[in-house]
Amino acid sequence: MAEQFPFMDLELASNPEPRCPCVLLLDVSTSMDGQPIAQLNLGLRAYQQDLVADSLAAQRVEVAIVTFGGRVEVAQPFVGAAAFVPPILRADGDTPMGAAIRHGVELVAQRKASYKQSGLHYFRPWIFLITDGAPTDVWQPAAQLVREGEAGKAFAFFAVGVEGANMDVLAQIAVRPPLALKGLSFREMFVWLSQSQRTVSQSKPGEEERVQFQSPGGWASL
Amino acid sequence: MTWKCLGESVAGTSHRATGTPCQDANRLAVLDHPGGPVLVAVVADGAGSAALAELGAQTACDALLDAARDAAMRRRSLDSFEPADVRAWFLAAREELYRVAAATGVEPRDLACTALLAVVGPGHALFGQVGDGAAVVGTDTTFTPIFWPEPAEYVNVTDFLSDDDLEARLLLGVLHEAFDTVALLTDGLQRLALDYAKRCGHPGFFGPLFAPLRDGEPEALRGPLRALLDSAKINDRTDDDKTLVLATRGRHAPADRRE
Repeated sequence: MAEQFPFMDLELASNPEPRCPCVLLLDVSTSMDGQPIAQLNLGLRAYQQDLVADSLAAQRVEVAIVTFGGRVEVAQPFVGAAAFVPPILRADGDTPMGAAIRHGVELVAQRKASYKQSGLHYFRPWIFLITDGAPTDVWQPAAQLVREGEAGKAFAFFAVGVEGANMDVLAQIAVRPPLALKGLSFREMFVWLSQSQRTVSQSKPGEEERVQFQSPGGWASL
Repeated sequence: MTWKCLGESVAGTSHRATGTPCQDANRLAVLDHPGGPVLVAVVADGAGSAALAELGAQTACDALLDAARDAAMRRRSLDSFEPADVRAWFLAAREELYRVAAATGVEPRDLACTALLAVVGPGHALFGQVGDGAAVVGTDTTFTPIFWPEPAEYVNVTDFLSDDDLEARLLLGVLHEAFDTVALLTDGLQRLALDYAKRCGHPGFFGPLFAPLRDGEPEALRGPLRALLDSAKINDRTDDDKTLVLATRGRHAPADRRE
């Protein structure tokens, strides 16, 4: 037997998986009420289901959710995809997008510090902003943070505008061209996000940029 | 005491799913050197972002093997080689990568790959590395990476042989200690073969690899090694290409001690 299976006794090292953090910045202002927020909630569920369908992604992707509607709230602190239970979001209030972005950037910085402290390896964090409106607060300092973060490769920032969003302001906030959601195809968008993160979280060195710029497919237009 | 050695590169499951070829490569040679047998081992991992990663990895392996072999055979002993010599071999390999890129009509970055070289003589060993992967030397029970693979900030970003600032990225080492085994591996196996908490090679991984090689015939182990690298056990933990090069000069008594 030993001759037939000489390496049978081999045992693999068990190391913590590298983490792939993602912050969702979600607009839950009054204008999202009705179908938009219902579809957004369904989209979050599809996102969670698609992530856990992939065993490596389930162990590597970590999600946090910051909502902005009247006030900025951490609806979900960072949690591993395997343990992620999507919250049910309600829409109410104005659109403090600037404050939400600043909070998201801060969450990413904190998460990286905690990875470093525990000796965990990680991929470049993603911040994913979804809005159907325009900021009702001061957004220029947040835009500056996004520019600095992108230039320093501290994170990758993506902005998605639902119908009614001020795409001009989004284009001034995000360095990457903002994407316009087709209708309310949140589900397709979140499945794309999950698939992209699955790819990134398993990407080879040097491959990250190519993955991020893959086509968003049917749910968005530039 | 000569070397018994074996090396295999196997495509990862993600590559197979997309029809991408294996972008890892390896080369092994045992030189009949006046000072005693000299092992030359090379592995390279073509970057996923490089259009012709496979060609890059093959070219890098050939060029490093040629440069190290030619230099080694020009001296009576390895003892006088210094890190600067290893650097010169890597720079020569990068020149070859540039030449092949030009001849193929592509940019050098289209051939981007990591590269890892070990040249091991009776009492003197030279190592060079750019990018991730690991060279691990050992005795029967302890396995020590020559350079600990520390990612820059992000785990999927690394350095390549084709980089402009190769000289700054290159890790070079000379070892005078005695050791019996050398393993080279690409990043697809890194988290499976190394213990990150203890910062050492995982004995449960390397022990059962070297015991049969010390006792048996390398050629007879080629099939089993390929089967192992393509087994569910390993593919459950990595979908990347995997390369493993193993060499032993088995100074110790044959082991009946398989942990």
